[in-house]
Amino acid sequence: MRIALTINSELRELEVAPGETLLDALRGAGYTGVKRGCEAGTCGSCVVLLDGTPSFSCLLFAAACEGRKVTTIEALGAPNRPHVIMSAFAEEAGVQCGYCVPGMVLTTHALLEQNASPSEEEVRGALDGHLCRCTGYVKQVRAILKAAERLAEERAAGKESSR
Amino acid sequence: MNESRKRDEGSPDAYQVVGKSERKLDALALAAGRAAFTDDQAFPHLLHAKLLWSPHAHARIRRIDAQKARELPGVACVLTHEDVPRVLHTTAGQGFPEPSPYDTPMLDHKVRYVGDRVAAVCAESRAVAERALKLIEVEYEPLPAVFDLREADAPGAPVIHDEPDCRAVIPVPYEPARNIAAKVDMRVGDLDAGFAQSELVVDHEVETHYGQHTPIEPHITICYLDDYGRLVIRTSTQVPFHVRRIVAQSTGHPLNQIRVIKPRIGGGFGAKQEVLEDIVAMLCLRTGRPVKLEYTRAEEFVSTRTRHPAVIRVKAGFAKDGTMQALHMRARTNTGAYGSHALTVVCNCGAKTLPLYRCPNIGFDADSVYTNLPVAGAYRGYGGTQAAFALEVVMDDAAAKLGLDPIELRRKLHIQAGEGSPVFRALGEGKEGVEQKIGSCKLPDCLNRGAAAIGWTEKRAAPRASGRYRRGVGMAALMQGSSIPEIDMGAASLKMNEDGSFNLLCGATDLGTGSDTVLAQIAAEALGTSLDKILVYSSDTDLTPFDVGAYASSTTYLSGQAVRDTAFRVRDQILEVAARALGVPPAEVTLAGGVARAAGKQVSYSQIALRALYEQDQFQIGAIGSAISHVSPPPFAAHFAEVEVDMRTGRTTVLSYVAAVDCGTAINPKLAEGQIEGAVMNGIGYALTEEMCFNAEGRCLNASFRHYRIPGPRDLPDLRTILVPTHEPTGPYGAKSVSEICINGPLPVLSNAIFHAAGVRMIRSPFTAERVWRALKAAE
Amino acid sequence: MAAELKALFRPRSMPEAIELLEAHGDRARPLAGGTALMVGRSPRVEVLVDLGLLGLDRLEVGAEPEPGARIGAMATASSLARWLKGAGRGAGLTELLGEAAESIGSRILQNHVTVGGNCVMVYAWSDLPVALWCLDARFVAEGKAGSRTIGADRFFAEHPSHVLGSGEILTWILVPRPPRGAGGAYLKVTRNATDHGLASAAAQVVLGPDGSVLTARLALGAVRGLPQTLPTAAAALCGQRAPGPEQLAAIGRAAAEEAKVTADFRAGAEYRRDLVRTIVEDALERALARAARARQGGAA
Repeated sequence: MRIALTINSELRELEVAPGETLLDALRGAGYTGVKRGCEAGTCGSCVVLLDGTPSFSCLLFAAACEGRKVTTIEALGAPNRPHVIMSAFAEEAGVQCGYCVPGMVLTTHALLEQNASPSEEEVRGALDGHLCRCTGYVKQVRAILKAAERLAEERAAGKESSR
Repeated sequence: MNESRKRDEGSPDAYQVVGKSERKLDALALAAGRAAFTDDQAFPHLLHAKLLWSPHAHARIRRIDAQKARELPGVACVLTHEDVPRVLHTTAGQGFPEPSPYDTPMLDHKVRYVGDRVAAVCAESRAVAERALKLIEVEYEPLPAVFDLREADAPGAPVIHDEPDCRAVIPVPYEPARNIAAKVDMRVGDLDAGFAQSELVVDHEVETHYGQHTPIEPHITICYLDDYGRLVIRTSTQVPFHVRRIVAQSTGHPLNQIRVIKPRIGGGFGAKQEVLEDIVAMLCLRTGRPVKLEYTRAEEFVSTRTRHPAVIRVKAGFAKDGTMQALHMRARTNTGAYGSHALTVVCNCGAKTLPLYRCPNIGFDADSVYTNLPVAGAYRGYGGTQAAFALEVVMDDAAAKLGLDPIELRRKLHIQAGEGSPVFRALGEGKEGVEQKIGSCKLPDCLNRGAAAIGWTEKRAAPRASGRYRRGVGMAALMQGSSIPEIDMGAASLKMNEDGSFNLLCGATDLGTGSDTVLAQIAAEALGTSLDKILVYSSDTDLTPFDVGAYASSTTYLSGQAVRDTAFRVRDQILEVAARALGVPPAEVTLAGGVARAAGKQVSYSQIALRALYEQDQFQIGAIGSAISHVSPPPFAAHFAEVEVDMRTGRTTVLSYVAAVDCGTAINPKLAEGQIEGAVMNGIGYALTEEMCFNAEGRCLNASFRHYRIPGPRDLPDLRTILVPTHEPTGPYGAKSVSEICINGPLPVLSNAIFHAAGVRMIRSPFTAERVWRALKAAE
Repeated sequence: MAAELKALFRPRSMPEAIELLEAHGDRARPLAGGTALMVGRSPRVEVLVDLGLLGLDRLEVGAEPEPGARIGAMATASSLARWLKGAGRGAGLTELLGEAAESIGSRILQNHVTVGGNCVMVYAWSDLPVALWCLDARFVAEGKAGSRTIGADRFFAEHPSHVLGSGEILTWILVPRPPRGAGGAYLKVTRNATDHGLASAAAQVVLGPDGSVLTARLALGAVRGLPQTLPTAAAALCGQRAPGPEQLAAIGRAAAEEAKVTADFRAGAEYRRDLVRTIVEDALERALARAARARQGGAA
């Protein structure tokens, strides 16, 4: 069946099978930053934003996402123009194998949209749908707090300059 | 090589690149989701493979008929044991000849655990492949099975490997008729006399459980034929060169017709030191089309590899003043249905723990048995995890009985720089070990700084906890090794480009650890240039020199030596060209910051490269180098934890955890800390909540993240890492290993902390709430 | 991926949805949050009828048929938790029901799990059914024959997917507003943070002006295949005035005795029974403290 949805601000039409997950549909369409880890909504490596909300793309039927807005990691930045959250993960050594990181970056993005200066506990809570076996989370939590700080600085600087 | 190895590495204070927390080279590409893992490259006309797994723990395949599956539209190939060569080999990705027995064919007429391979299918889609599996008719003759490692060698126990051709390929004991996959023993001094002299004997038997590595990227392999018909294996592996060798062996395809490419890897922790690629290669060779095999999470749990469960008894005899008189370890590991890493893991139970304490009389008796449960393999810690649990619980108990602080007892007994241990010589990996003296050891500093960070003295002195929630602190001392001496080998090549950059090609396999970055830092330091000038690539059996792969805590230490030595050779060539350009003897030239200087003049690396490539006496500045190690210098660590035990539910919460680690020079401190933090959290999960559970038929009941509980972000305690730098004289820029040691801490540390908090000694892992609750009931 | 699936329909009206389910009979399932369908996919399911476009995700504080909350079956656990802290505060369910919603797996999973799906596809460890049963919720289902309201005792008496007829869709969950002096709590014991419960307990008590327990309800989850209530243990609390630790311990023991408990690989029966004793005590202690505060007018 053919579905239309918005992926990374682009209206896309995809041919999907009725039982196909959003994860498979996205990877099939070339969005390989969306990773497969468990297919059961337990590891978080397939997380995308669905209308801005962190969601496990392995638990969503692509056909049921008709008309919705999907954001994948590809929309947030690239190695040569990284998003602040990506840079923070890289600088704080929050990336080891990196398989879990794109999903975490998206969840962090959604968190910071709602809560610009989360506490450490709020960060851990927001991230609790993500599993990482490499880092032990210490540096990832630090990276997120750093990203929040830096985004706040950017906002403050933006206000300054627009004055 | 020896000459360049003797070169002055300079003083640690003057290092320009080494010792700096440089950003991991691939971090941004990974965070942006761009760096390509195995499955992130598209292949036209790709076939999807699925394997049929045994529903029986032990059975003979009386008849197998794949006709209906073959006839299903969309099916490209079905393989059963009747369709493939039967070449017994080991799936353990180890040096050759392997210390693991040859007991595994690609497919067999017998199945040995629930989850064993029965047949393979590849089809136009995963759905068709799954449907085809259901059409394969298999008639099994179920056989009696054995699951308990204690019963595996009992008279009359079912013989799991009754095939006449299974064998050990190096001269080691191997008795498949008794389900003994490996056996090793060792004696130093007079054990009986040692115990007879002892005023205190402490004796504990611990039992550890089945655990899985759970890399977040499950095993995945894509095989295809390149334009020239060569087989390319793009695979998530820690051991590309062993994959090439073992796939050639298992399929009979010539080694020179196989190329193995390792892209980005989503974690391994030992699970991907296992060569499971042969079946995909065979499907590809039979169909001539690209074939992908991607394990599901459930398959990852059951049908890849696990940690060897073990029963380990440690008996230690002490004089009143705490001097250790005798130390005896008896270890039995469960290797599951196949003997992958059976011998070497059980050897390491002793080798990675017994040298830690000075003792004149030492005994080690160990074996590894087959059972009809999932196959154990390499898992970070590699026997050290299981044995450190036993030894450090005995040390804790001994300290209490001697009236000494647990730290004090370790301080009194632990090995120090300049000392050797008879164990080093007696116990190797499948053969005798090597004599070695400790070149660097700051365990005393680790003990002091870790104790201060956790508040040890105050918390141990505090009155015994009472009430429902009780807190306690515990600790352990640890050691591991750095590479397998006289066996492991690493190599690298370097060439200079005209802008003064260098291509560093490593056989060493970065599986997410950051070893590409660490090795590039070593190269940059040795070459006198900056990190951004090093273009690192790992690993590809066609392009990069040989390396045994990422295991045995060898990459930084051993592959790092190979990179440094290679860089030193290139440096010599740079010096020569620079000297000619500057008109001075090479000895007068100094290199730093990508510039050669002498007699007030200077020439940039770019100018040097341009001269060498285009202008005069042209040649390629470049070298290939390799390294082996004659020793395996141990990193050391002291771990501490504070826990809170709910005396009603038995639930243990880790409040804080401190890991103080001597890993020599941390080439990249932040990445080293990351290794420690990841290992500790993995260890905490293994100690408290992670356990594969089986029913009476040997079927795993919890092969999912839903029911096998690895720690998440909210389970993170206040985790502090303290790097205690030393300078290991044999390591590159003073480095030792850091990757494995810290997973060995949580079992003994948390057991000891629970004892301090709640008064019960947990000797059966994991320390689930229910087990602690049972122990508390029993103690009432 | 659910390989055997032949069709996924997205009806825009209730009659259309019912019609589709009726037409495909046993081969069809309604699709709510999708977590149960994805994880426990059954080869018999060939047709899915997505309930996402039926406007069933609304959350309302209403007066009809009695004062309380009207929870759309398609509301997610996270939207429920958010609503209970915000616009839905007046429903008086923030503590017990909110705690249950926020204890489901991970935060991201809570964006998927729907209240209706969690109730109809109840697992041993599901959280919302325990809380909703404790709160004596009612379940509104619509089918070809019209709409009917099912009490919690009936709804959870067996697996709710059998209570609902084929072609019948759970649309709303009605939760009566607790009276003045009410307090509730939901607790569970897990292996780690985002785990399913090894045992869970919901407690709801109402205190009279003199501090004596007017009514008490207790429900349990995760200790056997389906949730359960503990009317006998709860009744033993009624009439007690300011029950202290000893009284609560006695209720805990009574609960452990009354509970039906089974063993699985996650926990043994003996351990589960003892957990029931502990968490019933803990949940009651917390519920009573909240009720006392509510009685004094301390809580909204």
